[in-house]
Amino acid sequence: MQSEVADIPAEPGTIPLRPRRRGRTGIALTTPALLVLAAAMLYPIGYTIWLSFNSSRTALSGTPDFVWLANFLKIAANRDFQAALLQTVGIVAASALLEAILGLSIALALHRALAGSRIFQTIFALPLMIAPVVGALAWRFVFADGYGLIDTIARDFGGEGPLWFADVWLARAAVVIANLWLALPFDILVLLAGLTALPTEPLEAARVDGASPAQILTRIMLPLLKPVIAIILVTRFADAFRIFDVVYVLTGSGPANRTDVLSTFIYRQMFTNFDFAGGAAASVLLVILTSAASLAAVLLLRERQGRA
Amino acid sequence: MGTKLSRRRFLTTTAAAGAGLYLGARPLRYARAAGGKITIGTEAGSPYDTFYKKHAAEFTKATGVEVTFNAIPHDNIRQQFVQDALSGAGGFDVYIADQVWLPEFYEKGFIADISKQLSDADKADFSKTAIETVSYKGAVVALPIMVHNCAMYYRTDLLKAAGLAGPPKTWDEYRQYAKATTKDGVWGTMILSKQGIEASTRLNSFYQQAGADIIDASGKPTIDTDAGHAALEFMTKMVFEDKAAPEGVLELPDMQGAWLDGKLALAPVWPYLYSLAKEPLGGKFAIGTSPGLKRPAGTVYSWGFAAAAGSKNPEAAAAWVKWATDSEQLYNFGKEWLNPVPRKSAIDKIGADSSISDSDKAAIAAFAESAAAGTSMPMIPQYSQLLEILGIIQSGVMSKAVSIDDALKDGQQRAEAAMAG
Repeated sequence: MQSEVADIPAEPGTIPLRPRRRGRTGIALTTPALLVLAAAMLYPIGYTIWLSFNSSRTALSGTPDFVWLANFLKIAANRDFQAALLQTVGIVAASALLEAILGLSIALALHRALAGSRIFQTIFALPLMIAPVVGALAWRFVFADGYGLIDTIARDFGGEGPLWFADVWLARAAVVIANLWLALPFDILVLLAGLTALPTEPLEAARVDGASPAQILTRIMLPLLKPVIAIILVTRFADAFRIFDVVYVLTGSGPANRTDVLSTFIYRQMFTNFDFAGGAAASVLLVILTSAASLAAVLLLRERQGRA
Repeated sequence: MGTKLSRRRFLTTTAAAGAGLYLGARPLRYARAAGGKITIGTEAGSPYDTFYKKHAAEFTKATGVEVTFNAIPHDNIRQQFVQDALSGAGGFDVYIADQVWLPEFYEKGFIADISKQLSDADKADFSKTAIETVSYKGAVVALPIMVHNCAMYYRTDLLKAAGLAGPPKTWDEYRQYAKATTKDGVWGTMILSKQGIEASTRLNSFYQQAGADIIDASGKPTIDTDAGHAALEFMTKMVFEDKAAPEGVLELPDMQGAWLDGKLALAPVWPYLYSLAKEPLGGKFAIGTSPGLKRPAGTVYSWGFAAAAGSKNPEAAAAWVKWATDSEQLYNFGKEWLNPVPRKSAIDKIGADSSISDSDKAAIAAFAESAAAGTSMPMIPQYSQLLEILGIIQSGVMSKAVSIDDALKDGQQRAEAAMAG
């Protein structure tokens, strides 16, 4: 009997729990939380999937009106959905690329523990504490046509700032920049944690062998950071595909819908057009797309683990 | 030996507990209906939110109904109401309602018909336009607290310096006045074009000022028409040809900010700006009706209160709608916020109130005159979708991403698809 509980360290003066009893207690304690989680998360997801296979009347009446894949076919053929999908992928790709370059550069600079790097770590983390919609509003004032911060600075130097929201590509750039500002702190902090956890021996050995800083970065540090980068990709893909606040506040999907993304499309489909079933189908497609992108990153991680 | 909870005992206990909860909940639910408690959804930070929160205790005193306010930011308000109505949770008993939403909300069964609660005398006290803005398919689906359109705020000092007397009455005059006052860091006017509902209401106004609308009497969309071409040409000429308005995709806060900063000579804005504009402007101004090509004035919209169809306390909800729009409340609302109000008796009281300055009375009269000269938005359930389409058109044209011809052709197709459902 003693051996059954030998692996459970007991606090002095307390009686150790038996494993089965401990298991039951664990289930009893976690069940309420799991039920709440299921109700809060699984029910809306399940309802959305169910609604995507029914007509919009179902959302109003509650009575099933099964239409098979009709909503998915209708949404897939919708030119606004196609444009929003393309623009979302473009924004995600541009964001991912810039986040990788800037995030790694800043993380490496902060990792070198130069004077003031702790202060910079705090400063870089600030956007994480700001609600995306508030951040987007601040960027609206930075980019605002005619009186924004950029325009004001340009005028102080005798020039004129660009009309960010009146040009399709500049409007898209503004969305990417604002989104980058919101996302970069997460990348930096995770990369910093990854850099701190790197084993020092291979790095020191490389230095002794005369490897250049660039070689150390590309041949040793980056391969070792691959799992961390994969985690960032999984998290950021899930986040970036859902981009909403920045587009909604900065451009309102304009000009002429050219910065429309899947989330704003779904919002419009649901709450302007009252096409609840079509919106649900688009939401399901967005989840599939996000999952596929995240899965690709997970496979990247597994490949790394397999080789290790 | 500890007590063992058998499956049968567990089920029996659960059933008993469930029954107890149900029976306990029933009196609670009835108590809520009888006891009179309502939740009102309002727009956070709006004049009516502030006003009605301040006066709600008077309603409670008069009716015994307790009132809770749930103030929602402007951009989320429609979404919250739709979600509440769809869920059937009855989270709101009364909605603050933009006229734009009324036909579609009523069509979907989100709001109640309150025609029977309105006496003929009461109905007659509202202006004809006011009742039209809350009527759909023969039913009165809300009662208005504000019926307004964009009036033309104009800087009398700047116009005088340019040898002009305002306000401009035609589009030609508008262009001329804007050109003449564009100097020394001041723009003649501003054309809003950020894709979204606010700027879209301006394009609807331009359609009406050009003598038409975005749908015809039979309900057919009329986006790609001469009026549409005239509206967009007017907007582009003002910005790109006359250089009398700044380039860029601008929105309402940009216009209001420039006006309050004294950097704008002519600004078509909603009446509520008046109470803000009196202090910080640094110049003299007056208010007139927006000019037109064939007819003046901006599109008329109303805000009011609608009783939620899913309310657990429909009598109290209807009572609020009636109380909040009665002559006394509207008189106080007009007086405190210097806004035009939709009841004749309230307008008369404001006119007779010696505590209101002559300039404020003149402003309220100018807003009322502007609204009277305007035409209501089309009362169709697809109006929100048509506004979205107008937003795509004007943001595309004003950013030069799309030509006027292509934008209107595309808009017409979209509108026809929206109307076809």
